[in-house]
Parts: sequence; structure tokens; C-alpha cells
Amino acid sequence: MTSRHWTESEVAAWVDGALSPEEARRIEGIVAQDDGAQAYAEAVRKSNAALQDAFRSPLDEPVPAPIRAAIFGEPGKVATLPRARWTQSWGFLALAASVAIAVGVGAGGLVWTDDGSARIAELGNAAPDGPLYYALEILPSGTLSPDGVRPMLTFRDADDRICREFEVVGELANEFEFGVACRNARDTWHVEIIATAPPTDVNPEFGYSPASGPAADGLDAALDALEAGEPLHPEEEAQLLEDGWQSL
Amino acid sequence: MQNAIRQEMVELVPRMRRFAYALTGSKDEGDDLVQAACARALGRLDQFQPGTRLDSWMFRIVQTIRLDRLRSQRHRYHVAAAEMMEHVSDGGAAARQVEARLTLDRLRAEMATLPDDQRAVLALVAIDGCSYRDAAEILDIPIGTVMSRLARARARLMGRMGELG
Repeated sequence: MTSRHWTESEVAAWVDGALSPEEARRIEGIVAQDDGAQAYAEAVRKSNAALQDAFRSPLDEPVPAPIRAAIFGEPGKVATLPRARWTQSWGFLALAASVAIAVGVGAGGLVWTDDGSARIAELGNAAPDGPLYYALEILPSGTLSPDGVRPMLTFRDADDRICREFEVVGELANEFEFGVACRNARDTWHVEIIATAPPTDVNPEFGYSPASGPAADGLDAALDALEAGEPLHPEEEAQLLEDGWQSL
Repeated sequence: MQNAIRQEMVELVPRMRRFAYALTGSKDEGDDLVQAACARALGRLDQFQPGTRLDSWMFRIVQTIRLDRLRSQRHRYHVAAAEMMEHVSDGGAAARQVEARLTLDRLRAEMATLPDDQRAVLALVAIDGCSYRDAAEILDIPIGTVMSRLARARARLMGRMGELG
């Protein structure tokens, strides 16, 4: 200790990557030769790693619904939205009030906005070079694509087709779209259902009010018509993803 | 542009939650903090300078709200931290617990007993991997202060957590 030519702060800063290249080289040399410096560097490293372990759980969890709502809701308003969770089944769609629902087999052409802007999800086959196709084809459920598409869960329908429930977020404040697309022959993803909850549905106190009326009835009927099976287990989904959905 | 920022913000949420968890010692309290920070940020988007780092700005808002709350709830918080310590000490007496788990529990509890300013620096640098300069900017303190607070926080943690040192 008497002739120590390093300080704990210097060694810690070296471990933290906070030194200039010259300083880092100097401390690196010291650590290589000085048992005390080496032990301290190791202690700092262990301490950092243990702290990272102790608080890492949020990194492995999906974004909680109230936080998502705070981000995609209106500024200053905090709404508790009945957000879909990939671990849940169909119930979530029925929670969104006044959902506008489109069901059909027509090719595209469904426009939700008056301004005619392009939508990520429309009924019909998803464009193979588009963001929806990308997300459905390669992302595990629960993962958000850079374009705001998140596959929620995967199931098989009555015809044993692979279908995926998805949401599209971030296009417009407060607006979420939910949809279902099924994978057909020739590697196409066909959007079967879209439901959208417009901004006006947000009740700042209670979130969306319970679903009722013809829209919810129509959605139920559409899901019944698909005869959606239970969501696939994540491991099964992972295997299908790895095999390019070809395991059948 | 707003939508792009919202998108970027939602991608930052896991890191913000981790930061808030480390600051508060409680995931629920931390999530509440992150939610409040997001709402505040979106209400003040005009103050965000495009081209600067959204993560630093968001972390600063989390920390600011945290300090505001501490000022009004200081007493309550310290009671909570003390209770947490007591609980963990009981757990430590149960030698059957898995050692690694116990270490992380104790570490979280020790983190909660650090002074607020030291805990914030440690959360940014040791856990989030911020550079000293970014930490200084987020906390609005000089780099030298970042280093001295880090040194004190580590001395205290390592002293208490003998097995880590």
C-alpha cells in the first residue's frame, strides 16, 4: 500500500470503460502487475455483474400495459388499456369498445382513415416486402418490429393453417389495430380480420369501456368462423419459425 | 416525428424500468415512475431537441420525478427500505436458501440503503453501463462528482457484501 501508484477510482474507471485510451493503457499495465489493483478490478467487475443480475428482470419482460398506454395515449392522460397479451387468447379483442371490425376474403382495399394514407395492415394478402409480412414471417410472438407490428400469438385454424394474431401500434396516437393473418400455400400471409379501436374510445379514467353491440358480435362471429385453436406453446412456435413454418 | 419518438420511447422502456427498479427497490414503484416519466415527456416533447439522445432525456425525467417524490415521501421511503432490510435479514437466517439468490436479494436490499444520489450513479454506470459523462449529464452533476459518488457507493456495497469483494 505504501508506494501504490494507482487509486481505486482509476481502476474502477478502467473497469467501467471511462478512461481515455492513454489512461486505460496505463491502468491496464498496472493491473497486470499489481495484485492489489488486480483484486480491486475484479471486485468492481463482480459487483457490476451482480448488480446487473439483481435488477435485470425488467429486460426480460414485455412493456407493461399502463406504460404502453401512457406512451401511445394522449399526453398527460393515463389510461389503462385492455392490451392484448400474447399469453392470452381471444378475449382481449372483445374488451375493446366500439371496435371497428372488418372481416372478409376480399383482396385489400380496406381503408380506415379518411385521408387515404397507407396502412400497415389491410385485409387480403400481406405484401411480401412489407412490414406486416416481415413481422408475421420471422418474429416470435411478443416481439415488436421496428415498424410497430407485434405478433401476439400463433394458433391453427379449422383447416390446420397456421394463423397469427398481431397488433399494430404507433401509427396514430391512441389507435391500435389488432388483426389475424393466416399462412397459406405459396408462403403468403392472408389477413383475415382487422379490428381497430379509434382514439375517441379512450376513457381517461377507465380505459376502454366494455365491448358491446354489433361490432363485438361481428368479431366473435369472425373468430368462431375461423375455429381458432388454442395458442401454440412458445416452443412449438419457435420450432415452426425455425423451419420457416414448414413443419407440417 | 411524434410517432417515431413514441416508438423509440417504448423501446427504451425495459431500460427505464430497470433504472427505476434500481432507484426505488420496487418494481411496482419503479413502473409507476416510468409511467409518470413517459406521460411527462410526451407532454413536453417541445423541450426535446431532435438529434439529441432520447435515452438520456428520459432517464433525466425519471430521476427528476423520483427526486420530486422523495422530497414529499422521504419518511415513508426510508421506512420501506428499513422493512426491506429486515425482511431480507430474516431470509438470510434461513441457511437453506440458495446462496446466489440470497446474494442478489441482499444486494438489492443493500442498494436500497445507499444514499439516493449514490444509488442513482451506481444504477446508471454499473447497471445501465452509462459513460461517466452521460451519467453526469443525466444527473446534472460534474464528472468528478460522479466518480466520488461511485467510489463511496462501491466502498459501502463491497464492504457490506464481503463475498462480492
